[in-house]
Amino acid sequence: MVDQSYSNFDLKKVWQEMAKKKFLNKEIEKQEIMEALRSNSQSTIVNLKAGLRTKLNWIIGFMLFFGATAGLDWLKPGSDPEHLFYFGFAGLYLAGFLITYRKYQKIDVDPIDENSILSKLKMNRQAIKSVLNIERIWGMIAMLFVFIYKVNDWANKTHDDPKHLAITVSIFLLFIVILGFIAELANRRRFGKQLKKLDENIIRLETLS
Amino acid sequence: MHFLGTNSMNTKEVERNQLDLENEFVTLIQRNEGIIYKVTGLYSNTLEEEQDLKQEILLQAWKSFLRFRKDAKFSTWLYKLSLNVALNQLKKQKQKINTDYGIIANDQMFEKNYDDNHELLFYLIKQLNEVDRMMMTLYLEGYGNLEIAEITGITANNVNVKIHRIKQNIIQQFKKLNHG
Repeated sequence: MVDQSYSNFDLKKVWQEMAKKKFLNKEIEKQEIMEALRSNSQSTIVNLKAGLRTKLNWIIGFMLFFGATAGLDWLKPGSDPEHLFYFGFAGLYLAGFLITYRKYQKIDVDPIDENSILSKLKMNRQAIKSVLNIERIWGMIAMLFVFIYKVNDWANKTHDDPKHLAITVSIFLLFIVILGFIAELANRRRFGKQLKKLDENIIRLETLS
Repeated sequence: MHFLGTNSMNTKEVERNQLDLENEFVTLIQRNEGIIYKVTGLYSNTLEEEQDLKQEILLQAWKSFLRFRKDAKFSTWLYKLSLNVALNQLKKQKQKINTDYGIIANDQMFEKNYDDNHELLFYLIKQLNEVDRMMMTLYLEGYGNLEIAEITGITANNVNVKIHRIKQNIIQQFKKLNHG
């Protein structure tokens, strides 16, 4: 039966009594708290690894594309040996994939146990940053490859028109610089925040010393 | 970034300190678990929402724990954090934060039979808009107007006026529900 008299209604007292009754048997288990702590770092690494997996899929895609283009060009009767260029590019992508995949495999997303948090986080961060660095270096090598190929192509065909070479190479280099810039922006957008979060977690652990 | 170059000996010390910090955190949370349950109970409608909110509060509390000043009261800090997390969660769920004044009485309230004042009071507080709910919870927990003002960002004067009005409103609702 609800108390009918409200003249001395003490809300605070009722609230305290309510809290005791309602939450008396409720406990937050240590396990529950530890799971929340672990999920913070784990989800960051899982997300980063997922991003790198997408990157690897793109590499495979380009590799197959250039490989197929090279194959088709090669099979075309009486065509210029453009297929060498495409084979070269496919080869570059294959090399990129193999190196990147090795680093990718090193990223460990198994649940972090108590004894190896910091070293595991650092190892994962290193692997992820390696992959992004490999991509940058690969981009520069690809640029060099295109440059050498185009110069060679010019030398074989239109060596009496240096202007043509200059224009073609300039356009290619500009194209690759723009592509590189876009790739850098895309990486920052996709990985920037997560890497910053990972770095903050590592700093948090290290400032305890 | 000043994180490069820690040797393996420092890493072990750091990891030991990390475990100490975690144990300290767990102890403080368990000592003040009532706060989390009150907030999750007031700001969730289903068991699933309650569980999600509890996890989110624990996660955010851990992330902010290093910044917690030991001279401050942990319970106050946890209350402020929990309530902010609850409000953010509501925003993320794209629920409009209702700032209309007063208790939004509905038919369910009149149909329900309340065994005692305790259950009724909890239910009435839960019917308040999100911001008033925060204020009243802190008031009922024994926080002063200045502390409530600091936590909610509302001026102490406004806190005083609002709490007075809400109290009157709650008592009126008690009368209405029990006398029909």
